Amino acid sequence: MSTATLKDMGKSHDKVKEPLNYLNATNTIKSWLFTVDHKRIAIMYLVAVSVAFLLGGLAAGMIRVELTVPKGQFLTNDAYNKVFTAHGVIMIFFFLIPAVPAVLGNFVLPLMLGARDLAFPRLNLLSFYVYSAALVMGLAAIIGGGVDTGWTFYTPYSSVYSNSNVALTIMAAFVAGFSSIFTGLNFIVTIHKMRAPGMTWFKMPLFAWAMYATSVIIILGTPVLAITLALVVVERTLGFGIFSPEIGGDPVLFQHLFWFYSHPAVYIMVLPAMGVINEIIAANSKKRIFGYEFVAFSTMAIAVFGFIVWGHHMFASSQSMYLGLVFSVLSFLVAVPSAVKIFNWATTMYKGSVELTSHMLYAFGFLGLFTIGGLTGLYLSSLATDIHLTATYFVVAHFHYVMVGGTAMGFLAGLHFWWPKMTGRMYNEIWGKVSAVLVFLGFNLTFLPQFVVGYLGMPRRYHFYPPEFQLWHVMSTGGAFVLGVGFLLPVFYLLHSLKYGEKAGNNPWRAVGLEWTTMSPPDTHNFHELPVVTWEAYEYFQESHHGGDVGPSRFPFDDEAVYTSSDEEVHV
Amino acid sequence: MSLKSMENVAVVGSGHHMIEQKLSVQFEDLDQQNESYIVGMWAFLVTEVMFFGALFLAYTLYRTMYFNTYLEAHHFLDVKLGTLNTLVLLSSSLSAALSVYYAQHGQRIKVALLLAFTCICAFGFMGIKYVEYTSKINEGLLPDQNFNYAKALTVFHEHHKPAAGAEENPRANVAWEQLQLARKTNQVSFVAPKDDPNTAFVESGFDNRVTSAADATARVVVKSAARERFDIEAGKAKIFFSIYFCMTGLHGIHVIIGIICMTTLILMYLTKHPAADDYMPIEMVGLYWHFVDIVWIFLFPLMYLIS
Amino acid sequence: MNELQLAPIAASEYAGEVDKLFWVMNALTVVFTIIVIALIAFLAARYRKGSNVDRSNPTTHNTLLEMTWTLPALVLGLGVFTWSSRLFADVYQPPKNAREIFVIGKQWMWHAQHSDGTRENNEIHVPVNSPVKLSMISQDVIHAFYVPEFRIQRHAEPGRYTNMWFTPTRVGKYRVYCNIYCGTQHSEMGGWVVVQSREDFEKWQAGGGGRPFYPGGISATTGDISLAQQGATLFKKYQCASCHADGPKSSAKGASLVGLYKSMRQLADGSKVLADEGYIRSAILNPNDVRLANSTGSMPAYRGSLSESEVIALIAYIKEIGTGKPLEGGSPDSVAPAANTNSQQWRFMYGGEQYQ
Repeated sequence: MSTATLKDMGKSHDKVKEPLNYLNATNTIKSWLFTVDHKRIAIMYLVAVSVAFLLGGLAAGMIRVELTVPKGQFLTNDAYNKVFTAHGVIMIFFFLIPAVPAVLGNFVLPLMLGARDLAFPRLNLLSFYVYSAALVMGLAAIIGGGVDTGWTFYTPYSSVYSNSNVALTIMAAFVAGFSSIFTGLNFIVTIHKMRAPGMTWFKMPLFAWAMYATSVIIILGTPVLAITLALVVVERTLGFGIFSPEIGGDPVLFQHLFWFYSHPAVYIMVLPAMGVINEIIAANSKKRIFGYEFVAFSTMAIAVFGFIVWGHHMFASSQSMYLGLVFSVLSFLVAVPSAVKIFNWATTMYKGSVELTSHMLYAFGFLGLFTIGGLTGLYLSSLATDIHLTATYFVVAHFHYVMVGGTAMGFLAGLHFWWPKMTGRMYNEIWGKVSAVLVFLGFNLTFLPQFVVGYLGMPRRYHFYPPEFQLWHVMSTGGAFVLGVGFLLPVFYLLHSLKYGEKAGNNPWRAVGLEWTTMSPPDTHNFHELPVVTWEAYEYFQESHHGGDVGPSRFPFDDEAVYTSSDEEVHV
Repeated sequence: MSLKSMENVAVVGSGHHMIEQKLSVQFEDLDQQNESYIVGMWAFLVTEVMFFGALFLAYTLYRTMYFNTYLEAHHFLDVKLGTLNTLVLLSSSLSAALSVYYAQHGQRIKVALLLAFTCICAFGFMGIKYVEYTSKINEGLLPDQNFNYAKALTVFHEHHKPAAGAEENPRANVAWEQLQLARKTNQVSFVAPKDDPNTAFVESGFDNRVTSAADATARVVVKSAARERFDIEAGKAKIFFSIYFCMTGLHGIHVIIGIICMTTLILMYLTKHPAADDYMPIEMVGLYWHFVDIVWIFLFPLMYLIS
Repeated sequence: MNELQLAPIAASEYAGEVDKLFWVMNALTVVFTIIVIALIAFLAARYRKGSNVDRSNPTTHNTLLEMTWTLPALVLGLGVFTWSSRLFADVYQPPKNAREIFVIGKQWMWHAQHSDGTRENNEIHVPVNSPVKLSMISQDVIHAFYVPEFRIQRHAEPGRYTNMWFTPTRVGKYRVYCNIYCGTQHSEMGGWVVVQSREDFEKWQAGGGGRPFYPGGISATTGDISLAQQGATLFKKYQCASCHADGPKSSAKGASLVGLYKSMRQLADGSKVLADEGYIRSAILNPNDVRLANSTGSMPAYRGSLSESEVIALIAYIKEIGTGKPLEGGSPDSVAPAANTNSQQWRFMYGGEQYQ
């Protein structure tokens, strides 16, 4: 039916002077605030989530300082409870959930798929403003008195007993939920409908698969959390009764509804980071991800299984034993696809050409920390050990290994990987490596002791603790400072690179992927002409399906040829 | 680079009803654009289903736990108004479907008229809802701090007095009997005798025994058992009405959003706004409106027709 | 306690069992982590850019290889699941001979009632080597009763009994924590499980359990009348007997309570339920919820009129009805005064004591 074509447009682009890109095409403040360009929105998101991350990190620092002594006097009980709640709320709703999808996903997904933008650019901008509004609400609640329920908002404490800004904080989380729903919708449509000619589902980069799985979880799970939180607000402010045991309501229903979202939310946080790791491992090994299909399917499997394991957060509650058994076995099963990924990533390097760039170091950090995070998760899916370890520091350590070791490491890895594409500048590689190593070491020093102290019986969310746990807490606090320095370093050298960094070429890492065929930074509409994909994902050389020699890649590398099975590197 | 300069115009349609669609810059062709909108809308509706899904789950759980209360409390909902609202919404859905059809064929006037009719129905729905809500609130059935099941029961039984010689009204009997029993007994209050350790222990509740003489003579106020029994029933009824107000309230918000969307569309059609050339917006609103309708189709029997 | 401690004391039968599982899982974790790290390090080093190695015929997929790491992981996982679940099934169902102690959680203290009537706050005395069942409920928000040395915890929820059980195997004093966040003084809500040898425990019981334990004369409360006896007194006070027979004599109105406990009851809605503690609690507080098939439905609800302590006492008494055992305990005259544990001062002092 359609007669429209954009070919003419492409030509008009060619006349545009080469240096004109999405950053310098227009430079008024208004052109940023009202932009519908996914790349500019990604940059604004980057600024916003960085602010959230630093604030959440500040709260974490206060917690660690306070816990250096068993009976810390720097904060009162109330203040301590408010600080750890602030840490949880900010980090989860305003950093971990949006970080990779809204920043990196927003920036590279359309580029990877060969699209000019996301399917709904204005919805994308709305998503950013909704997020910002939520962040402002959340900060207003925290600064204007604070909230002391913990980020889980368990009823009846949150709905009846707490005397803090519960309603405003919950509304902030509620609004932030809409922001991620908008992003999720946009990604789903974009992946379904905006792929460049030739880009079939199984030619998509695995990052796009991860974004797809994440978006599916977002649109299915987030509304359930939103409505549950809204019910708590209604109960708290208007006096309605849904979860209140006073009138015969069931507070455990809240937990079921809450974890129905909040367990899959773990995968919302970690799947995108896994997607980033795929890209980096492939690019730095110059190899196709080992078992591409397995990784793609395991991503989708995690998204599906993720929805049926929520009850493992409630083994110690009044949930029945049989329900516990079902949730436990499902939780063991969900671990399998994650294990598949770890081995596939490692095996990708086999017969590759491995470069230890700073983003590769971050990716290695991810692999190590996520392995430990995933394995310790099994202690908590196993019923017998869970009823000892649940809600102790063992859990705290476990989910930090997954969330910081997984998501935050993945985010930093991706940021370093795509920074030249985003800004057109190279950062200082040495500082990048220093930061990656510091984060890894600091992280382990912070959280390994917490496994031990959790096993010893230290409950989470405790302001005062018995003196015999002090040694472990001191170690943890020490590590936290190393970790803090590791996290702050990139702020400086990345900002520094904006002005003083070397100019990055189109494809500084010589990686396969449509985003590397555009200029750095990309043009406002990404591609001069819509690309036609003729190569497989990660085609660093042409696969030999029937056992013959490998051929050169069909991917249009800019300048130098990348790795092929080279002549001088023959087996001795 | 302004977006406008890059917009392409395509003309589609058949016969003499030509309609124009504008292609946004991010899309390659109109098929891609239209399909994107459709996929996006369906994904959005999935989200909406999950929104209501959580509430339906809460509804089902408490319905299983407190079926009798549900059965009794639902008699306070006006089935006649509910049925009327169902009919209003169903006809609005029909006109919405027709308006989409005419939009695809470029018949502006028909589209605007049908949309206006849909909108009027939506207003009608909200008006009827307003009547229902007001009467619930006046009866004391808004489940906030002023929730007053006793008042509601009394009013209800006055209005539904059986005609002379007719049978007693079978509705809401358990709660009503409990209320009448409760009214016969007043609150019991007594002074605990100093020398009775058991009373003292009763009175301090949690802390079994008391230390000082002053505590031991504290006044104990105990609600009469019948009163307490009624309060339990009222508590469960409060859960029912909380769920009723939350679900119908959320649905009402969706109706209002629908009204806003449709009014915007009508204005666009009347002012011949260029964006109204495209039939996709109205198709989206149409899909949305059908969803709102379907939710009500579930809500109506679950709330009004419990048996 | 100054030396570096890597594992908490194992002070219950279950703790020993769980530790075995825990260390096996630790071993698996360490082995698996080392495999992953070694694999990464080896491959990264061997195939680093520019190294002179054979890179011919690189493979990018191998279903057999995928299976060789998927299936063992699956089998190991399911093995651990089976082991763990069997342990859990045991610890989920308390044995019949367990000594029952009722525990009430409230912001921010634990209150325990022994079946002999002894009451304690933030302390529970139990004899070594005999199973103990805690029946728990909360008076306000959700709490969790957690004893790391026993490797076990369970939530105490408002409006619903939960239980946990353990067999302490080691004499000593073990910390109890509240392990579900419950508000301002969450981290100070705790206490001790005091495991005593049988002789010491009997001495403690004989001494009424009361001895000055904390500075300021705060003591565990003496119990001279057993819980069931207190229940019997309440039974009279609320004139339960005017409807419910608590002896061979049958009364006109209500169901007889003789032999009620652990019997099957036919409800009005057609279902059958086991008359356990939870059932008896509902039957007292919200009788309409568990109306019997042949009931007139005229029993008043006692929710709000009875404290959780009273309900527990009544249940203890009702459980004894028809068992033919005489109610044990002293006379109700000799009731020792106890500290007002509700006072802010007490809590402050207690909270201070726990962590000094």
